[in-house]
Amino acid sequence: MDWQEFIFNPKEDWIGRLEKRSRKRFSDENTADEALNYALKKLSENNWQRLNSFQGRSKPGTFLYTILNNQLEDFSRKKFGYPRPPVWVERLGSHWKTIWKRLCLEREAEQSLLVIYQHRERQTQEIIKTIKAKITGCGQASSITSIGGTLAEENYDLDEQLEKNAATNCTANENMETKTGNDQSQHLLAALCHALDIEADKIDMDNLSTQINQHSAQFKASFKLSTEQLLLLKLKYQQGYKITAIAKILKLKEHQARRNLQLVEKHILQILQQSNLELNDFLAK
Amino acid sequence: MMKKITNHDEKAKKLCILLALSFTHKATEDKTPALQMATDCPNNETIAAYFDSKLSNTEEKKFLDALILCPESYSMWLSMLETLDYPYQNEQLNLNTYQQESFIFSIFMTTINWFKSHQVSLMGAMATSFLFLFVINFTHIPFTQLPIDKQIVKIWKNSESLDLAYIDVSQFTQRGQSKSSFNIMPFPEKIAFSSGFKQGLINMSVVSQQIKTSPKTLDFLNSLPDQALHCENSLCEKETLLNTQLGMWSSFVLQECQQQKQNVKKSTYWDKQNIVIKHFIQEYQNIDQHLGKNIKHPNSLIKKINKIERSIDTLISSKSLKENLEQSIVCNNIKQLALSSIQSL
Repeated sequence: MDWQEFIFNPKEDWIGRLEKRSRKRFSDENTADEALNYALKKLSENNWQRLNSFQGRSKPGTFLYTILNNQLEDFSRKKFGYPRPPVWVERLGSHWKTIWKRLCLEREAEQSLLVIYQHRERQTQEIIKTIKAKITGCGQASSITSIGGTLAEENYDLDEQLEKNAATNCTANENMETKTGNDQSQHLLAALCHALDIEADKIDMDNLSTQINQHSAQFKASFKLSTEQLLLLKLKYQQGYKITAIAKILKLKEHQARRNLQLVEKHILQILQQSNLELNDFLAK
Repeated sequence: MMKKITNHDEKAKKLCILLALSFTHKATEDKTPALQMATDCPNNETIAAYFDSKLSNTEEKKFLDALILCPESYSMWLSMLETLDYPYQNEQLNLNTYQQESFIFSIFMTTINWFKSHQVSLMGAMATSFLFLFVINFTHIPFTQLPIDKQIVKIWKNSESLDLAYIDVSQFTQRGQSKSSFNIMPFPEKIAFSSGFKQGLINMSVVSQQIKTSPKTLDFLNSLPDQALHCENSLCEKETLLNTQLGMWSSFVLQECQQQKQNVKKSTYWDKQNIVIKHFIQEYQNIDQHLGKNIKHPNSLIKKINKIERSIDTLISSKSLKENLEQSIVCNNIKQLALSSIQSL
């Protein structure tokens, strides 16, 4: 496969498409351009070695996107650092992690994120609101150094600069985990209440978080969900997709997805009821 | 009797489900015997194949099972949903409720959205047009007194000088007036530009097989006589050097774009410039040995190139060019050429 010819073929305009993808990943134009430069440079190294694992089992363009995404994330890690998000953010799922990373590390504007995730705008709004409320200093300037200006300002090596940035950013961000506290269940509950607009005084946080901790092993054993059930729940509740979209993603018929989702929701609530963890009791107080 | 579902109930349900999912965050480490079969995490191509519907039903099931156990693959899969805008890529959606809009409403919204997205640029274009017409019609600045970037704009607009069908500079008078009816740059600047243009092509031809073997290039090179540049003051020297470099870069860009019948897209031009500058310095140092000429220290060359970049920026952003540029087309072979040139050295 002649990747050079494929990527630079003006008819298909893959450079334009990759640029569009980079702009979607990094809403700041300069960062997106920088990231794309980095990715293209990495992709083209050693005669496009990173793309040589392609075996023709998918379309070349789709495969190219997967490799590009890896490189864009690699760029992000080098430029902005790779600290772990707070545990409660991790437990709430990938979309929370992504928003946290883009909002707090990459310091993207809230409005940009709402445009990018326009199909999941409500969910994204909830997440942004909660992260900003619960994580102090999110999005503020830190020791992250920006790579800017033209390469022609001095003798410039992009890789070298990124490596320096990565070392700086890791040091600056390594204490984020401890700053958010140790009682992760309480933080998790507080975050969820904030996101769902549940008034905190309606829930006995201490009691509920204690109960959750006590029953966590039991819950893990009880929630024996199939792959499809787990993905249905994750895509709906963590990622914020509508049921019609979920059905297409999982290649199910819509009525089938809807029915299976209702069944698994009922199953979860039953397990929680049986464990005496009836949240309605708390919410009704 | 059906229980009335309240907002309160919905919130409670959502809270419960999200709590439950937070438990499964660690539970994915527990593998059942069946799931232990799927220990190989899906690679990038398998993920791509899923979206291209190239997996069989069995393979898809195995793929989804593995996704749950492999956080990295799961993240990549989610990332691809965003990349491909899946599954929304072929649909017109109401952004709030994901419903298929009525035909009339969708036409209405499309029209409104088009107007909204274009009204600012339309107004800007109209304002620029009036200003441009005012400047052209009511200001009578002699050509030779225009800033260099404006001169380039004028030339480009008239499709002169920046074309492979280059006019032999010996046809021009000392005052820069052409013996033909063309209105072009004054002589010293023109000479500098043409020298630079030629130099740029020489540079490229030495390192680039593609340029080297093009019959157009050879014809053009043969048609350009060498001209000596004599400057009496430092300003002239500065201008000359600027034009020389400008010529080189213009030839670099234009040659590639014309070879591939592409136009230059401003927003990506600087991307290519940044990559190419780095390689260009290396090329230049190598070519110096071929041509036997002294070169400036790369840092001073870089400073000159910065100025050229600004000139080219003005050039590309001129209204007259915008009329001719197709924004969606990218001249992308500069990087390709630079990379292949470096590899061939």
